[in-house]
Amino acid sequence: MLSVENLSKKFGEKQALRGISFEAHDGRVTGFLGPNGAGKSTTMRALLGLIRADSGTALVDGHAYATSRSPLTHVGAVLDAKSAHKGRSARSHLLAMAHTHGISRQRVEEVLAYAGLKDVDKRRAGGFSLGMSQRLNIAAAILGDPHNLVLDEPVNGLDPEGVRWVRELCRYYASTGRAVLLSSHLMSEVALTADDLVIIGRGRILAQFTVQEFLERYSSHAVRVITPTPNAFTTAFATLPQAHVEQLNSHGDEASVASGTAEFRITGIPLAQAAELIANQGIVVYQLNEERTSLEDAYLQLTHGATEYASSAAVQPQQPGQSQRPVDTAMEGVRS
Amino acid sequence: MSSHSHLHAMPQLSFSGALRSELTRFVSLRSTWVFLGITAVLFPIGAAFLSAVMRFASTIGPDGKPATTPAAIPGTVYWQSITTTGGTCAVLFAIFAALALTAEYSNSSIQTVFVANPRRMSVFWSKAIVAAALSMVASLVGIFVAWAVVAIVLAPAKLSPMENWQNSRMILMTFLGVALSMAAFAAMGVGIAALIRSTALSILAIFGLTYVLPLGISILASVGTNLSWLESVDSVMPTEAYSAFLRAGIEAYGSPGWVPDWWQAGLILAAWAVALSVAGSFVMRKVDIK
Repeated sequence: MLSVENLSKKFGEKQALRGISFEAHDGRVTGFLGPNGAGKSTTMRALLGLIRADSGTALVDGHAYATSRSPLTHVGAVLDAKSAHKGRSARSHLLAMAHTHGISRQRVEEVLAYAGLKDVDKRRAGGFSLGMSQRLNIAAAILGDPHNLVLDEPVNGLDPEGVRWVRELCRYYASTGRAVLLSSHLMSEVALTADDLVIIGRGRILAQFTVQEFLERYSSHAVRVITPTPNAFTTAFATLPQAHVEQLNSHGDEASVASGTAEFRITGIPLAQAAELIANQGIVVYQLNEERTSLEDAYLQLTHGATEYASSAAVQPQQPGQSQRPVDTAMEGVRS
Repeated sequence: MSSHSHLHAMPQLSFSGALRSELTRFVSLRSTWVFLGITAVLFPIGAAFLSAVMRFASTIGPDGKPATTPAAIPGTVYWQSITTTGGTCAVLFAIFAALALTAEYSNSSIQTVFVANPRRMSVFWSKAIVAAALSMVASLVGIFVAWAVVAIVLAPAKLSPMENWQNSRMILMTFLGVALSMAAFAAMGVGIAALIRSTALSILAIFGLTYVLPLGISILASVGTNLSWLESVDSVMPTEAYSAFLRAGIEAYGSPGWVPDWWQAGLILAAWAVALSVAGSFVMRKVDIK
């Protein structure tokens, strides 16, 4: 288990972490989400003793990582994509790590084969693609068959097969009772793998959920209707007490005023029930859409204002239900 | 990953493991072999050049014409020509050792090193020991080859006899003394690298300590009327201490300032290595790896 308690860290004038606390439990994959510069990597480095916190604690299985007598069996970590010396071969990189703990050469061979690097094990890491470097990092992370995994954006640069491989590795480790802390700035990716979510922005924990809780809270859906008969429409839906009907004023443009149309957003009832009522009442509609808030939208909403680096054409966070996007495909793959 | 068949025993950190790990890191880099090769070759090249010059000089009389009988070459010169490039090699070994560490900082592989072994003192000292040991071995290889070269070049020359104790001490200094000095410079290099962590600045610092600073002190001491005490300061700089150590107390060395005995010079050199290593290790222990 990985536990962080009131962790704070300042680099010069910049407060990187502001008293954050969370836990990554055994048997679960914990997604650690946040925009660039939010403090994810700093937190992970603090867990691994690479950074000294100004205050608070970051513990691995209840102990400071630096005091472990067998660090590689406690934590396997992927931090930087290119973390091997450019002039060293993949095999030598792993062997050097293995020697620190007296891990056998056979184990090095195992992880090389598992990562699919057997054919390039004598090539220098400097010549590796980003994807191959990530595979080497993951091979290094599992070298000691650790009880915890700390993975900082491990799928960066991986091809789809590689992304699935990392996903399966995380699930496998969790299924064997180990803790996995997986950082990313992509909600859609984490939602496919994680059990729990910790969302960080500007050095603060913004929210903590299980993925299931997050889905229930933010995967709201609504029905959007454009009709030329607004009075008949509102009268019909008044008969359904569970339906909440909101008239939107987006059609205040000249064309819609001239055509006399109105746009409504209905929540609280499923699409089928709304469509059935409209058909039964003979209401004319020009448009009928189901909309869902994507996880990414909800995530952007949560981290709005906590983004350290944003482009000038910043994405405007949308309120749940305001998405113009059709059903988010990422939702379909989310484990239940 | 389904197979963990080779991890039945609980792997544990150990200092011997850290040493083995560092040795693997060093020998798995081509740059290590290039550096060690260059330094090992510099010894015989310098030895061949100096011994040939000495042999030629012995055949020239005081009037500048060929002497009828070649003059005897001092016995100390025989041994000193073996290690004539020792000062240059010392600087190269310091740079070699420093690069081994600064490269890890610059390419972020230091993260992997500290994740595998979060006991940074152990990482530092294993690196310093391996760098020093490799420098010793490379210098010994170079010295043995240089010895053979000098023996061949000066075979026809006549050597002034030395007393037995002088001969023994010169042999000891030429082989063990130089090798230990190279190890000391390598340890200094790792210490400086841990203090500075930048490749360019570390190399500058090494040049500053071994060339620029002693030169500056000497110039100041010679021009300032009340600055002759700086000669004593110059004597304790690493390269001056190395030279005094290798003179082995056999040759007198004139200086207006204090000049350490050969054994004191050896201790001064060791003190530099220990001081820079200890300082570097403490900085390495404290510094954040971002």
